[in-house]
Amino acid sequence: MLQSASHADHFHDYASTERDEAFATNGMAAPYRAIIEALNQSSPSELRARQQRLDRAAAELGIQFALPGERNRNGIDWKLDLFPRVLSAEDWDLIARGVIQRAEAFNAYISDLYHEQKILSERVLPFELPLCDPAFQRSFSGIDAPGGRYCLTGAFDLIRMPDGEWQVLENQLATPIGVSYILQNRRLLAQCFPELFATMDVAPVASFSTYLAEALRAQSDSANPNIVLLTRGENDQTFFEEGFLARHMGIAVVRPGDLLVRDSRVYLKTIRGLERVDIIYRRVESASVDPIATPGTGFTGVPGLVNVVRKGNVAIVNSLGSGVADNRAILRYSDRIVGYYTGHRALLPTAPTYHLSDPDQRDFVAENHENMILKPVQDHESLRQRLGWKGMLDTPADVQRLAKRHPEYCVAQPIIAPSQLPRYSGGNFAPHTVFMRAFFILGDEPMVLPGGLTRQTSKQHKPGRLSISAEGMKDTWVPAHAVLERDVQISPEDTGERISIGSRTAEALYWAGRYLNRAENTARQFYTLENLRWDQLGLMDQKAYWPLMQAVAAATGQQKFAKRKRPPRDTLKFSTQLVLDPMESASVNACIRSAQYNLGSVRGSISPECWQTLRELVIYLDGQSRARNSRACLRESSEQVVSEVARFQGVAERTMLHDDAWQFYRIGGFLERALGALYLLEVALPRAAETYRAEDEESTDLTALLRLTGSLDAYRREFRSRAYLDRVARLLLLSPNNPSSVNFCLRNARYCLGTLNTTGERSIGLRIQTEVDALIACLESLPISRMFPSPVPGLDAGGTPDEPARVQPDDVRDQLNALTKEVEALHEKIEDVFFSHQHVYARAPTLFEG
Amino acid sequence: MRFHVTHTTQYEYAAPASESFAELRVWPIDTNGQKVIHRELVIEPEVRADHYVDYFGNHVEFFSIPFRHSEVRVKSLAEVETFPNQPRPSILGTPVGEARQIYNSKLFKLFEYLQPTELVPLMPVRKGIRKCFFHESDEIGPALVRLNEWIFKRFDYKPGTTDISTPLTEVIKNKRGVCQDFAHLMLAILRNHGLPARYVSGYIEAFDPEKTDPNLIGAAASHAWVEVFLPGGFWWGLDPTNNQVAGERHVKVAVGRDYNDVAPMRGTYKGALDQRLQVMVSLKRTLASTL
Repeated sequence: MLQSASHADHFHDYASTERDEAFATNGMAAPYRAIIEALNQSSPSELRARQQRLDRAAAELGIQFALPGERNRNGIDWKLDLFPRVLSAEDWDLIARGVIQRAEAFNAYISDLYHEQKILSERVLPFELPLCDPAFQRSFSGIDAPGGRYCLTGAFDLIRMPDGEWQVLENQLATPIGVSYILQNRRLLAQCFPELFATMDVAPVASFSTYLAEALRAQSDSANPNIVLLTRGENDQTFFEEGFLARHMGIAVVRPGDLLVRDSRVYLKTIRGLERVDIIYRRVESASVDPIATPGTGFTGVPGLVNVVRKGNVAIVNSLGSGVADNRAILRYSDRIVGYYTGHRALLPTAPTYHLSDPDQRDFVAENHENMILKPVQDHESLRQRLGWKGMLDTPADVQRLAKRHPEYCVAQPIIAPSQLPRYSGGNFAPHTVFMRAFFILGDEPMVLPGGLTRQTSKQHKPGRLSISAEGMKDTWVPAHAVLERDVQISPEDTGERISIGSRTAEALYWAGRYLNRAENTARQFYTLENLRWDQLGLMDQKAYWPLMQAVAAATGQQKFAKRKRPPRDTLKFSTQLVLDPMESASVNACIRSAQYNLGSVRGSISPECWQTLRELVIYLDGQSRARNSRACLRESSEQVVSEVARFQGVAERTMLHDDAWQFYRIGGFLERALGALYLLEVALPRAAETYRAEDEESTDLTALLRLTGSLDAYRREFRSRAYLDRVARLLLLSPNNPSSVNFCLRNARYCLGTLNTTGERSIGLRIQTEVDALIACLESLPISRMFPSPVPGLDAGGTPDEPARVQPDDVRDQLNALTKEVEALHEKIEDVFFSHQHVYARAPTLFEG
Repeated sequence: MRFHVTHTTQYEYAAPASESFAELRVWPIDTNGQKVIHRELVIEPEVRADHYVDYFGNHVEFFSIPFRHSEVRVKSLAEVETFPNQPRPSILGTPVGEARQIYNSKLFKLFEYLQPTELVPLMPVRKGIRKCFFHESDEIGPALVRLNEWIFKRFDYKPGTTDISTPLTEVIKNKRGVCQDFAHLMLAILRNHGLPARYVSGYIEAFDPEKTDPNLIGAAASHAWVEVFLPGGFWWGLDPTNNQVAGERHVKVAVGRDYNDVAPMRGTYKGALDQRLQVMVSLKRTLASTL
């Protein structure tokens, strides 16, 4: 039997309306003919399989960019429809020209508003609309943008009306989201349905990020400017978009805390020192960049940054305050604004918008409220701050409340019925309303991203920011011949090389290392004591328990117990505070949480496995701290912490990149362990020395000390004898092989410091290495023999059997105190040199030039 | 009159601070009423300060301290000559109604001096003070002086009872505060009545060496008063704390919509929250003016 080519008709029952772009009343629209033909080549099951492939690929992206350890729960619910949107060459020509025209007009508007305000003095629009806008900040007045480019890049939300007219629904010039989705959607559709692309020569979208990088670079006079992307780095959508753009442009993603202002310049804190920043690609709202320039906003920001911009020593893109162009209150006057600044009629008209502070317009809106959608004038946080608005502004009901209380901060737009397109769902195509966000760059040669972010929604357009997750998207095609070929010099620069490891990453890992070791240390000491209390000390020695407990409390920073002479009546309460209380800053639980906090802040730099391991421990401790307190529960919790932290160390060792950031994790761990040992020895050794009799058979104190530090086994192997004070001191202070000894930890920290790639021109790390060397030398030259005269002369050290020298507890205490201070100072130096750059070593020679 | 002004601000931190940045507005401005003859800024620890002029015309200095420090001391020294500078009586005689019409004709330039701000909300005054201070036919000058006096008499000067975070509602309720509260209160009343007004920070000579008047208030620290925009463009200074028209004994430092625009020192640092702030202001008349 002859098999005919399968030819399905998926659109047989398609219920097209008058506003359908693909099926007008008189049949198939020209641009879609080939697409529909290509889709009809596939059988229904094939189509279903294609959409499934698309969904799977999209879901993987969602997982990939979800937060580590949290799977898809808070990840991106990415939906891409297999039916693309196709724009005709005529439509695209109009859109491209119209977008550039409008972008240039609003660019001029932003500049005017922050300088002479000619448009206001000439009364082209009511002055109170821009002047009351929370995005308008006096502290940004008079600041010039390089090349007069206030909105270097931005977007407009467009709709296509049933009669084919394109309108602008909203301006998105401050920090619009979407470019990464456009680029990614194209890639996904091309992978999952390559046949579709045979129907048309589609203009590529991928070069947009290259153009953007070029345009950013052009904002500085420097030959190879240092560009960073400034983010707050919280929400998943922006997390994906920012990471994507930064990777594609080869620039670093930074948070406000990564930047530092000095002498009217802004620097990026890296472990190699301060790197001057030339251009900041801003993805946070203007009011949050500098707490000095915009006080009372509650953001940390980068203190002094606005003054650096004012001095022309850094360019911020888009310029500070460019959000004034997004003010929905001025939408009504957009066509006038375009006319005023360009001298031409607006190519793309603006959708009707009503402002509620105008009585006539408000009446009109009230009469037609069923067909209107209310929106606040700005989506920014600053609107809520300006009004002291406690609630959210996310739902229509919220905005309704806002409109009642503060009509001057609300606009209304008629509910519109823009064009529709077929959407594939459940094996069928059904019409869905579509909106499009078109992106532009106002570089030397202005350009519009060919296509745009088309999202489909079954409901009306929503107030508030674009939400990717709630709606499906369409790849958007522009015929290649409709796009002017630009002769771009894409120089494949290896920009990755210049991104040094940020101080914040290093610092977070350093602290994670410290907190985990502190938790492990406290947990081990606690359960060792608990065990000792019953099996080692015997009932008569219960009073010996408290001094040891005090030593542990002191070592873990619980100062209020360190000074008590007697044990508290309720030792269970005390023990709970030591182990499980999350509010007690030195408790095991609190330390684990601090480690989680630190690692969570640099989630991009740690492996998902690590995160998972730590999360499990946190969840376990949460459960334990809610359970009824008992000694057994505390003992179990602390044993679990010791083994889980060990597991974490193993997982980290195996799954994390052993780069410089990793070394800081190790340095933190070793330093913490050295300090933990010292804090314990400071209290325990002088006390042991006071009661020490060499001829005693067994010193319970010393054995306990060895067990507390996890060194009992090491001692037995090394000395094969009962515990002698001098030997214990040697093992815990000096042994190069005992992982719990101070010397071991310092030597390892020194080794890690030595591997850091921080040499180069500034060599800032060299001096600190010398200092650690000196510290180790100082430790190794401790007069142990004098401090702890050996009872077995000739075996370990000098001394004569005739006159057994006495141990001087005060001398021991002084020596150890001095040593502890040195190690603590080492922490401060590491912090100054690598993290906060406050130390004189961190001063680059060029930093203070005039 | 000629004055030597010394304005010292000193922060002591419980633990060493790092990453300090601060912005200062302690450089007196040049106006028709005063001329700065000499100005000097001393920062300890010694760091370089940069400078710009802000939107309101104030001199702003800023600096960062790139190393650990447990103390910052900023000393602003200035020699300022002040001159008698009062509006013509005919302007003070303008009826309020007419003045409002004049304001309306250039409303967009004056707009921000009529708007509520974070520190000058209009609601508390609308609710708490029902009195109408300005009738259409009132002469603007005397009406302003009456308001100045009303605040002076109605409110108690009680240092330490309020700080910059005390809302206006509370000042109105308790009828007490310090100079910046009275300035904010007066601004709110004026703006509610449609009269454009701005906040002034500066210094005042408390003790007149040539007279035996009682001492004036506000000399130990920065002082604050208000300026009202009069028809014709004159910003007229009124000091409700001292029931006076601002004159030769007032030295003007900065102007703005409220305290936030003129804060003498605003900064951030990293370190322990525990800090001690000390501000010392001295204003001494020199005899040079008689020469």
